[in-house]
Amino acid sequence: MTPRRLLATLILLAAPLIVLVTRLLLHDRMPDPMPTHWDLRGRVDGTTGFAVFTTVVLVVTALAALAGTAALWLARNRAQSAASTLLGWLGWLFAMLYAGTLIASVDVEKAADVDLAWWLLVVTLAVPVLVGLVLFRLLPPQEPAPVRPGTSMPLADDERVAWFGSARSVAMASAGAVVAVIGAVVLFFEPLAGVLIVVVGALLWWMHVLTVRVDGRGVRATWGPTGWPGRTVPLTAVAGAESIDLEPAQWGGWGYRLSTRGTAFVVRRGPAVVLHRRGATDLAITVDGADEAAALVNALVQRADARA
Amino acid sequence: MLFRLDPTSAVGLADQIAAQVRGALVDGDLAPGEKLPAARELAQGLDVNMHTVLRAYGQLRDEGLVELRRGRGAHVRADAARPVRAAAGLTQQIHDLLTSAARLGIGTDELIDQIRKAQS
Repeated sequence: MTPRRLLATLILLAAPLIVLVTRLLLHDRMPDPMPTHWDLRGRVDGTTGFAVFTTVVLVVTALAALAGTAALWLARNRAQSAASTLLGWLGWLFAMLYAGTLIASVDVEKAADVDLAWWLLVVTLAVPVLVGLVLFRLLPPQEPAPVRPGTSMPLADDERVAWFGSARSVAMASAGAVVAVIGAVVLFFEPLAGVLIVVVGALLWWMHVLTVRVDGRGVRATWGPTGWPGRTVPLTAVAGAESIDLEPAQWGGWGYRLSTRGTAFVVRRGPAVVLHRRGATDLAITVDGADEAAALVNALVQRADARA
Repeated sequence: MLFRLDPTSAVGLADQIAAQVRGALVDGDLAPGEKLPAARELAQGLDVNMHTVLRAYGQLRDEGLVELRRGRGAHVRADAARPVRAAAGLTQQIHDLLTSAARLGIGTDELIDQIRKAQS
């Protein structure tokens, strides 16, 4: 989506331009030094030379614009290109603060006499936020992740396949049981707290086992000894899969985790299948035999792509 | 474990499922005491009728490989130790032999005759 990206780039580059234009239009009507800080009552309590002020703001806005543009064009995923939103907001904040200060200072003799009108302050702070929101809307939509040449397996055209695997954690089951027993004891003294602790223990115990099913429809992962609760990722939403040695710390810990890497279902350290989802973050599921699961997912995705 | 079904095969779907479990037992992919996928789950995954899966599991139970308990599902029998697993391998080979023979138009009686002939 290049037009969107071009528009976003123009918005990013506009921040240093605003600084330049404001300077050119108003530089001969400014007090020097400039007021650059106001206390809570609105009195000037900080000043900076006009040239230094302009230079600093120009450098910051230019850097933010360049870094934001780079993030927009070089990012390999949506999370990285989202950095352009933040950088856009930052650049525009500096540009608006500069412009706002200059507008407030027009034709004022001394820095201390400059009044910062509240509406000017509101506009100065609100515009960058709006710009950030617009930039966020303009972010390139998630492009389908290229299928990584992960392992696969031969699959006949009309063959029906289903893979079942699970991962369990004795530690989590024991911890859950212990917590539940503690809760049961507490129940006698503090009924409400006891019930809560028992529920937490039961939840922990329930989540100590994770079952995974891979078939022609997609990948289904379910917590607990029964098929509930679970999550199904349809095959059409998967671009590919790989098997990794999952380190819980890198995915946000144990249990159902959300992190910058994506979503993770973790009951233990070790083999996990990572689904690269189309238009979404990765989903990691700890499961024994993850190699075979990943190979089957890739084979199924390739077969579905070949049919389409 | 991985289940693969070939719908175009002459071998029935239930027999194919049973064969996969036997194979996994022989290969050690399935350990004694391990739980087999729930019949409903397996049926959904393979897109077959649940009764087909139950027929396969029943067949395995009759062979002494699997234990079926209401509410607990199918488990590989804990005593399905080495000899039993080796027997599972033999059972599987017999099934394969019958299939190959059927493909060649050789009936069971004729096959038995040929086995006797091979022995002498």
